[in-house]
Amino acid sequence: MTTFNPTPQQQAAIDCEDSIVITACPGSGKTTVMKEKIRGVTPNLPSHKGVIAITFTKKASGELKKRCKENAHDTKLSFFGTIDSFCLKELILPFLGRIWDGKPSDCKIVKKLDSHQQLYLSGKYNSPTCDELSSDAGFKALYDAGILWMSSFAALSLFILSNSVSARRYIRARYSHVFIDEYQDSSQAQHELFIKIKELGLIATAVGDIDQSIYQFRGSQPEFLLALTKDKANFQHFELDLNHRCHPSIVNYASRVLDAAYKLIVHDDDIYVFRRLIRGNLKNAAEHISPWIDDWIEKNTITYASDIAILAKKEISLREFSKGLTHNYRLYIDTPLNDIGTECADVFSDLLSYKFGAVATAQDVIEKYFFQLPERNMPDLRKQLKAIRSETTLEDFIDKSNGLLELIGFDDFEKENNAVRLIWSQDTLIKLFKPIALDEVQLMTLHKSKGLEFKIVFHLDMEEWSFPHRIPGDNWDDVNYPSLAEDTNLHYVGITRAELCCILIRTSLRRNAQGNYGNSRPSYFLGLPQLEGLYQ
Amino acid sequence: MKISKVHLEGFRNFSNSIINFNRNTLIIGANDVGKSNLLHALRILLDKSLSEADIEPNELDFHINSTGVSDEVSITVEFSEITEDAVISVLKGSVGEDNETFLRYTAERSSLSYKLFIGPSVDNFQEINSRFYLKHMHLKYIESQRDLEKFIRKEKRQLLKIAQESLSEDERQEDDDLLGEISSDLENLNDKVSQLVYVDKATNDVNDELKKLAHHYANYKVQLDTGAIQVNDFIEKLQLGANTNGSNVMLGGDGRNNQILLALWKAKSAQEHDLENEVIFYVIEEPEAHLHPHQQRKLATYLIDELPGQTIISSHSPQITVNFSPDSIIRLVHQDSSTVAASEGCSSCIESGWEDMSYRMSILPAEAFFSDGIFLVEGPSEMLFYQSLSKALGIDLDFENLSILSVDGISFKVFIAILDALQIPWTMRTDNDISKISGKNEWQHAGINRCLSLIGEDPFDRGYAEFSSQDTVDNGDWQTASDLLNDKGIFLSKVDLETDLVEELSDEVQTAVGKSDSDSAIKYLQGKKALRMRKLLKSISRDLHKLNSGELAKPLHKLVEMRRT
Repeated sequence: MTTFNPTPQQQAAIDCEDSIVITACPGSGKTTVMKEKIRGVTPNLPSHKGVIAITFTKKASGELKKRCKENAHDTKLSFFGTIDSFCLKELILPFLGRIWDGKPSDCKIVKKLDSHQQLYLSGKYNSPTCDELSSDAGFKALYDAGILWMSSFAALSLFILSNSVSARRYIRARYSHVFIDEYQDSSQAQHELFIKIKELGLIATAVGDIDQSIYQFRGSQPEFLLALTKDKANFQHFELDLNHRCHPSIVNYASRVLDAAYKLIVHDDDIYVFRRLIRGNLKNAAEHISPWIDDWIEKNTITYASDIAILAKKEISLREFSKGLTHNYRLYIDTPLNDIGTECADVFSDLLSYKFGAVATAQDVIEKYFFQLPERNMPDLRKQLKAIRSETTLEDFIDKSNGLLELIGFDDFEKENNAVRLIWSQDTLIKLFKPIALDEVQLMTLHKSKGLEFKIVFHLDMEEWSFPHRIPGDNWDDVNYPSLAEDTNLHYVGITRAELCCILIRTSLRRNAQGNYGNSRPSYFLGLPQLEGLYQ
Repeated sequence: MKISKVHLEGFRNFSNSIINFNRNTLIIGANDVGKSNLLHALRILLDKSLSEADIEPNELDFHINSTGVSDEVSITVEFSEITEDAVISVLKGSVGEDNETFLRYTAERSSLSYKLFIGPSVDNFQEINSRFYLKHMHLKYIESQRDLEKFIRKEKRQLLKIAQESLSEDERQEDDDLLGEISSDLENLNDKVSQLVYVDKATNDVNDELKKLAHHYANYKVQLDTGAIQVNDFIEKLQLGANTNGSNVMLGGDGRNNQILLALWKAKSAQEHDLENEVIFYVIEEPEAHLHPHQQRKLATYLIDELPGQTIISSHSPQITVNFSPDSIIRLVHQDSSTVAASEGCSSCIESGWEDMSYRMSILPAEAFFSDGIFLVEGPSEMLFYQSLSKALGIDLDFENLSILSVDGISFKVFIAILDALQIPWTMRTDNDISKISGKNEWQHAGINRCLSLIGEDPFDRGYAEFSSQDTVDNGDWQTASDLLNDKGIFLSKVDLETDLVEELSDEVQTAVGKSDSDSAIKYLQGKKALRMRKLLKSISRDLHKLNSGELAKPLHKLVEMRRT
């Protein structure tokens, strides 16, 4: 483990004891700063208190928790998880029953409302705010019918805090600080919840990067992060603008994508951003690139194939590309279980991960899903889990898993069972449940690459119509990029995943919406004048 | 945070009892009524020193009544005024909007198993795996059988450890230096002892023999030495001693030892009590053991004032009882074949009368709280008289657990309120006095009305001409009133004690005081009441039994009758 030597910028953010907002560029070490702050605060807390540490994905919380607890550091009663998990465990389950009667723990949690459930609500909401929740009686009706909709968790939590004295008292008694990462992707409800928690008396820290706001299509708005930076009375603003990860030439190129007037970093050595036009389609491109990869590994330029990432806007591009890749790879795609999106499907995914190794211990699974069961059932539960793990036949695996799912309270899993059957039959899908192998090149969408870093990145889809997203206008000259801002940020995210070098790939043949191949033209991103001279 | 209510069902002595607690609470009751069992119920839920195995139910925990054995035990404890962060944090959604929480233990006789529950209200319980809350809320218990030596042995190490942890940097450095010195002193000691000639010589013979046995013993010697005693060994051997005027003395007798033990326990508890992070309830059984009455009183106030948490004490001591206002006393009584708390425990119903009364509390013999029946009388002459009378009539007051109390004034009402609240049966006898209303030409039946108001009846009409007690007897008013009152245990003198006594035993009394007629005998006794009454009683003790079926004896008989039902 390398010792952490904070830069003055980082140290200032770590040391500040009041509420702060940190705007951080890629590679600036913001997760480390957050970890250091948490480790600095927790020793002084009594054993019945902790901090709230919220990250964007479950994987990220697991990471953060592990790093905070390094060297047996005691994080006391701190919470590490996503905002939805926090809302559910700390506010909705214990306190919603106070206000709306009934037992929240008996409710079913859904990610998406089906058409029947949609009918309860009088409007169509992306991620409802607390006001919307209060004015639409359909939300309570849904609850009374035993349904809790994940997208409404933040609004529900704010509603609970506003109406329950004991909920407010509890949060104040248990938590001293609240930390939220990836704040640029907060929805209005989540932002209002954060502010409310701060108003209860907790010291708040928000961390984000406006330029990495890539979830606007889901209702997230970078304006909230911006609003915090402008709220000088309540938040001190710290900027971490040094990218320690990427080579300066990469930083230059990526920053100029966002801001034509970005002042370039001066560096002595070569430029490591490359643009390549490859003859043929994506499969051909993979065939063309594969020997480069083999070569790098042989010459030890790169130690592990997993240090190389292939990123694209669309999953379908990755699939096509993978057909021509000779090297071992892992394709990060949504599995049939992800597509179903229910909590039951999530549990099944984790059971598969436990079986094939991506999740290492039974304890991880138990902590995630079975924390509500009495202690006396634990040994039996562990036995069941281990039995599942050793199951080699598909149907037996499904049977035993169904048994476990029933324990948690699910009773209808035909859809999920079928998804599992589908997954079991495809190696590429099974691979996703196996632990990361160092000899696999990583293939994923730009969205999925957020927060990760690689030594070398291949960025595909640099053709017009592929990326940025373009829809036909009234005539040939009517150019319409409906999500240009978000796509620009996505492009920025993709390039800044690279430590050593980034290669932008345009294929000469492009597959159109009808499935036919035609000649491609360079992407809009390749035509930006401010990028000239910054690539090879 | 405090324990505010306990509901016991089917548990040991308790068939179905609700018992209210106050902040500092005293539990009293006859031996074997179930005081310890009530405290044990609290311990099951809150005592860390009881393990999970210890709280498993056994056959004897299930209440037995006339119809059979109870199949279930249920212990519910209500906590209120929860403001401590540590508890709110750990209990999360189990704390209600009114800052209350409930814990419940249930056990089944068929399986001898138990379950634990917690919830923000009695209709909203959730089962829990374990007493997870004990880290931040629990009770500390000290039982009545206390052994100071055993306690010291066990706690010595802990006391030393706590003291060590609370040292300042400088103090720690000082101690370390001194320890170093002691270590080297010990080494010197070891050396010197081994140099003692007789110690050395003691092993000479052995060594000579060894040399004869084998070659490799040539350079080998055994010797006696101190075994390299270390500093820790000395600390281990530390004994608790006492020091008077600079000289070491033996610790003390049982009473002193009791005080020492409780002081140690309190010091240790207070030290360990992290007020910020935990709530601790203190439960002490019979702290008064072996102590002189003043010391008993002092001990109780010491414990209540100094212990930093709700303190619950069980006691047999009247001295300790006087420290508690009636709204903080739980009196456990037998009812049918089960135990209940009088008025369901601490009751605020007496509180308003209490403030007016508090100065009289010290005069009220606290033994009243421990009685099974009280006879309330006007003053010292009545006390003397009735004590002799009961002996003469064969009523053994101690055997029956009855007491005679002089209210020394007129506030029967407040005494009665307290006794009713504690569900202690009572009878009373008051004078049938008549008083004139000042400023008017009206006279009222003061004594009769005093009694009537106690039973909620309207007072008698006033007279516009003066009348006397005897008049009320003659015109039937006294009888009318007595008919209403006697069944309720309230008795009126016809005139007053002296007059009534002379009336019922005229010959014997006249002879004893040397007067020839009733009036002068009465006047004589009224002249110096208590003094002359005592003398009189001595003289006529053999004749008192003749009063058995008269008016004077009625309150005593009534009390015995009430107590026996």
